[in-house]
Formats: sequence, C-alpha cells, structure tokens
Amino acid sequence: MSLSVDIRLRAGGFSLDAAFQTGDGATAILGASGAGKTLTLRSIAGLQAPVDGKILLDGVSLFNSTERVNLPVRRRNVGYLFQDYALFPHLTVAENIAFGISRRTKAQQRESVSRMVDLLRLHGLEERRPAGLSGGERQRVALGRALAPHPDLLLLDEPFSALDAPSRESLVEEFIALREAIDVPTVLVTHDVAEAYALAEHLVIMGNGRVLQSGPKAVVFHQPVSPSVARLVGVQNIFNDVRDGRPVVVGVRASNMVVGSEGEPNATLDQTVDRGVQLLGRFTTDRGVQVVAELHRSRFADLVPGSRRRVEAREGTALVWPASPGA
Amino acid sequence: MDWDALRISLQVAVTSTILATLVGVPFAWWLARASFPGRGVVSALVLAPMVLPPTVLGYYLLQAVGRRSAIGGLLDSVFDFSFVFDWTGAVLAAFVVSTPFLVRTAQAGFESVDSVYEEAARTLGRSEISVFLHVALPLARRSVLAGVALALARALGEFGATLMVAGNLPGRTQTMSIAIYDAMLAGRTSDARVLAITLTFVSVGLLVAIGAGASASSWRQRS
Amino acid sequence: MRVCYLWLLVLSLAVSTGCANTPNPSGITVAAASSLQPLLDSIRSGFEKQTGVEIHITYSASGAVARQIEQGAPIDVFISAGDQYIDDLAKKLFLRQDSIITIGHGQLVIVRPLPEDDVTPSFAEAQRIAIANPEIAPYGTAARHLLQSAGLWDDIESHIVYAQSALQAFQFARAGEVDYAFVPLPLVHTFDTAVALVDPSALGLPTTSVMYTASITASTTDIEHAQAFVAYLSGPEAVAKLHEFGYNSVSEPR
Repeated sequence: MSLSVDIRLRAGGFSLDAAFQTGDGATAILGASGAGKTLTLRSIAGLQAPVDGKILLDGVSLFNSTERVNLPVRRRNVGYLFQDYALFPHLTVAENIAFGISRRTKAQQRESVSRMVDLLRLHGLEERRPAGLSGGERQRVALGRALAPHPDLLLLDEPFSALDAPSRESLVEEFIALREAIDVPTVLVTHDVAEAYALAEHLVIMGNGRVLQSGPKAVVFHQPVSPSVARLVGVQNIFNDVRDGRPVVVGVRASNMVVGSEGEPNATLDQTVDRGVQLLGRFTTDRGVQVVAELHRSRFADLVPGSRRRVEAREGTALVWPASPGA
Repeated sequence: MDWDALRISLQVAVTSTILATLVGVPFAWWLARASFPGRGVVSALVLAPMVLPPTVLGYYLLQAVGRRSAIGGLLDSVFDFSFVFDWTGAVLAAFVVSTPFLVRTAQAGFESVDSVYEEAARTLGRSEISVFLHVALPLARRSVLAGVALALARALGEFGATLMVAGNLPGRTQTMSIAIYDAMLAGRTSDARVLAITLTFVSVGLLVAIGAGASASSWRQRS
Repeated sequence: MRVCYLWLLVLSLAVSTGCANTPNPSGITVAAASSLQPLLDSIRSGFEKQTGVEIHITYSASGAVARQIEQGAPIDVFISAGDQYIDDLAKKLFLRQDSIITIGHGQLVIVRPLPEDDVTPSFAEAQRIAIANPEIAPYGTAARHLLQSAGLWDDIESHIVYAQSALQAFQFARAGEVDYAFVPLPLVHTFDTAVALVDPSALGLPTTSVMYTASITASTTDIEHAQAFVAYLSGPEAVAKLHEFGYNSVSEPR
C-alpha cells in the first residue's frame, strides 16, 4: 500500500501543513497533544477537508484541491477507530459490527459478525449494548466494526490511551496478532513512543502542525533529525555543549548513559526514580547539567542521593545537532 | 350535537403535524449540524412565527395565498383551488404556527448528541439519509417526539390564523376551537361547554399517549 | 395605632370608589350592527359638537352585541339590524322597553368582485357565496330566507361561506375570496371600488330590506346622554346622512 499525504488546513486558529508518504505495514503518527495528529487522520478519512493539497491512496486521489477532488467520507472505504470508540449506544454489539456491511445479505452479515467475534474474542457479548461493556471490550467491538467492511485503510486515533495499563499491554499484543490475521494497511496516532514502536514499521513525527521527520522506525528512532524529534522518540537527555569550538545540542538516551564507579566521578546523584519496569537515576554533572541514566537494579541497589559516580554516554551513541536559536 | 368540529380538528391537527414532522425534523438536523454565515438568520426566520401573534400570521398568510395573490391566483386559475375557506387553509395555518416549536425542540435535541456518531456512520459507508434515519434520529428520539407533541398541541389549539384563512364553515373548516367561539357568540353556552370539555380530554389524551410512547421506547432501549 | 387608621382610610376609599355610581366621565358607549359603520362614523362628530358628549362606537354582528349585553358589557345604546335581538333582550329586561325605536332600513343586495379577467361564474356555478352568519347577523338570516323562498338554498348550500358579520361578508367580496356576497347596500355605496352590483331579479330573487332598531340598555349609567343620542338618530342631520349613504329612512317604503 502507499499513502501519500500533502495537505494544508486551518481549524479554529490552528494551522496544519503536513506532508509524508508511507509504504507497506503500519505507520504511527507520533507527537505531543495538539501537534495536529488527529486533524491529519481526520483529513485522510475525509472528516475534515484541507484547504489545499492532495491525498492519494494506492494512486487513487481521495483529495486533490487543484483538480477539485474531494471524495465523500462514505466512498473512501477507510475504517476509523475514534478515540472514545463512538459505538452506537442504541445498537447491540452485533448490530454495531454489522453497521458498515448492511448491503450484504443477512447470511453474509451474520458470517462477518461471527468472524469478528471470533477474532476479537467477543463471544457471549453479541446482544449486549455498549453501556454494558468494559473499556477493552468496547475497543475490540470498535475494531470489529471498522474491519468488517474490509477497508482499504485502517485509521486509529489513540487506540489505547483510554485504557488502563494491563489492558493496554494485552491489547497491543492482540493487535499485532490481529494484523497477521487481517492484513490491512494501518495508520495510527499516538503520543506514546513505546506503543508506536511496537505497532508500526514507519514513524511520522509531528509537532506544531508540521511533520518533523518521517521514515522507517529504526531510522527515526535512532537518528532523529532534531532535538524536538529526539525528545518525542524518547531521548531523555538533551543539553547544550561545545564541540570543536562550535555550540551544539547533544542528545543521549538514558539507556545509553553509562554509570560507572571507575574513573574520575563527574556527577552527583540527586535521586533515583523507580518505575518498576525501569530504574532511573537523576544526576547533576559537575558542569551543572542534569542527566537521567538507566540503572541496572542488581548493580546499583546501594546507590544513595549524594553518591558520586562517573556518568558518560556510551561510545558512539551521542546524537549531535548544530545549535540554532529556538532548537 | 354534531361532531364535525372534532373530526375536522383531528384531521387538520394530525395532517399539519405529519407535514411539520416530515419537513421540520430533517430541517432541524440540518440546522443543528450546518455551519455557514447565514445560519443565525435562517434560524431566526424559522422561529419567527412563534413570536408573532396568530392574527398577524393570518394576515400574512392571506396576503400570500389569498385569491388575489400571486400564489393564490395561480392555484385558482390552474387548479381551481384555494386555501381560503378550505380545510387545507386550516392545515396551512396550523403548519405555520406549529412547525417552529417542532424545529426548535428537535434542533436542541440533535445538538445535544455528539456528532462523532454521525461521523462514524459515514466512515462505515452510510449515505446522509441513512446517517439521519439510523443514527441522528434514534439518538435524539426523545427531543424529536417532544417536538412533535408540542406541534400537535399547538395545531389542535390554533384559532386566530385558522379563522382568518379557512374561515368558520361548519362541517368544512370549523375546528373545535372555532366551534367553541362560535357557540359562545351565538349564545349556545351548553354546546360550548360540551365542546370545551371534549377538546380538553382529546388534547390531554393525545399528549399522554405520545408521552407514554416516548418513555416506553426508551425503556425498551435501556434493557 | 396610627398605621391602623391609615389602613382603614385606604380601605374605605377603595370600597366607596367601587360602590359609587358615577357616570362614565368620558361619554357614552354605543354598540351597533356592523353595517351601520358608514352612517354612524359620519354623524358622530356632529353629535359630539352639538352636545359636547363623546361617543365610543363598536361594531359587530348584532347577535354578538346581544350576547355581550347579556353578559353585562358596559354598553349604553344598542343599535341592531332587525328587531328580534332587541325584542329578546327587552323581554329579558336588559333593555328599556320604552326607548325602542326604528331608525331606518338597509336594502339587501348581491355583489360580486370586479373581475380581473372576463370570466365570472354564473350564480349557479359559483364556488363560493358569502352571507353573514344567520345565527348572529340579521342580514344573513334575511339572505338565507330569500334563497330558501326562491327554492335556491338546497342547491347552493354547500357553496355558502358564513361571515362573522354583514361587513365581513362584504370584505370577502372586496378581497375577491368569494364569487358572490349578500350584503347591505350602504356598504357598497361607501366602499364602491372593487365590487359590482348584481340585479337580484335576474336570479329570480325579490328585493328585501332589513330594519335598524335602536334602544337604550337597562344598565346604562348616563340615560340623559343616551336618550339624546337616540333622539339625534331620528333628527334631520341623521336622516340626511341616511340618504347620503344609501339607507332608507323610516318613512320610506321598503
């Protein structure tokens, strides 16, 4: 599949200017709140009309301002998962799932619904109304509803943000399994870099209504083109430095910060932050820079605030960008 | 006691309410969802008959469809038909006074339903008519029914504009309201009493029926 | 203690104002048949100048006025078309029997709207024929009686449109909403544009007139001025106006 987006849009004082292309596999649009990710997604679906630009899916124009093409939503065959799922409250689970396939015969509809119920583990819930479902169940019904019509493209708006952590974990895994069963090109919007990385092959990083970087996830993840992108892909340490007499900005992941007892200590521990899955140490270097380093639990059980250690980036992992005003 | 007036009242009120529903509900949905510069003006124009006295409306209606008007003259010469002194004139008057109530109530109902459901329906391939019938309308059902009930009540009680346009013709355009007035004018006070009590029961009965229908359907939906 | 006296004063003032039988400080109220509008509107200023008494006139169908008087409306003089309402109210003691007089007649005529095109339906083909509501208007009763006597009523009854008063029947014709209307002749003389007179003998109908009867109400609070007005109606100025507007005076043959 190939999706090509190049649009400009204005909505309530916010201006969007986004351009990117994606290939096979899933694409994640990553960015902070208000970056314009949902607006971009809605434009692809046709729920919002850009002022200018074009959107092409597999060579078919969904939108083209110069040729005055603006395919109505219902003709785009794009499945959409809304942030709060938007399940029809007055219909049952089965009726919700069948909503987009009403033109097929009753027998075909029953078969499609039953297939979705199997795939998404919704057995026994067919006659329930959305009000009687848990968050995770609702999300699966919404997925089933969007997938039943065999869409050419599946769009998901923050699919897991409304769920608690355990549900999220299992659903991410389920989702990956689902995509093997139903091979549909997918674009999802999220502000969680871990989720983006797990679910997508391509990343599109957005900030302030613009695309900051797009490409295969490994490239974007490991070679962010600017400090802003670096922050969004989870580089926790970003600070100013001088290299070769020139001012630069340096980025180092917490996981690439090495904390050692050998060598001249150059930083003092302020506090440790234990997030269960990760143990982090916040240090202030002697040069006054605050850094975060990932610590291995076994080796640093005795670390107390005030301890002095040597903290430096692993060889070759520091990202360097030229300093520019407002970077 | 002849019951033509009751028959005519029901005929006129039900016909005008059906018309008001067919025209007013989709229009209310459009008003609720549209956003264009003149929307406020259109909204105000639609609601204007609510604030105008019925006799003022009657006057304007006569100007619009009386035999000497452009529309009235055309209808008369081509179809040999006139709204004036005809039960259809009573329907027209009732329609004009009751539709704004229906539109306003239904519009508020549609506005209170999140438009995301309609967007979802569109992404699932449904046409605008289907979005209206299968998503917008069911979700705003209660307000729409309330609007219909209001319109029916207003139509049943219509007097001033009806009298001016359709006249007071017993057996043809004399509605219950007009019949009560007529009986009082002619000194037939016992007739007036019977008619008034009957109209009270009919009005209240109809509204109770609509209210019961509305709560029954929402009860079914909840279970 | 003093507040109490104040309240007593206020109360007694209120009560005495209600009980007092003071004359209407601003003149007398006359309720008249709708077809008398041309006559009464033209003689009122003459009367007011002569006597210095203001008159307030309301017009409706005679039967409607009769109902209002029965319900106690503050009317001083009632001028009705026909005499049946006057007789009825006098029997019920709402009117002063000794004040009843006939003041003139009005001829019942047939009019049709001036056509915009050449096509005018014949009486037999007419879609709509207006008469005043016989239940409340004597001109309507007269029109119905006329048509029944001529044997035409059964055929055209379904085309009859009832107006709330003789004046309204005339207005229907003026506006072109009906094909024919039975109306008092004085109205035609006053508003003679837009309608044409139809010769009743061409339809096999005789001419007929309706008399106007005036009376003073029993509940009047200003009998002196009421009597003066009723007398004025029979006086030379009023009779001259009668002829001017197409009414017949009492002495003329009907």
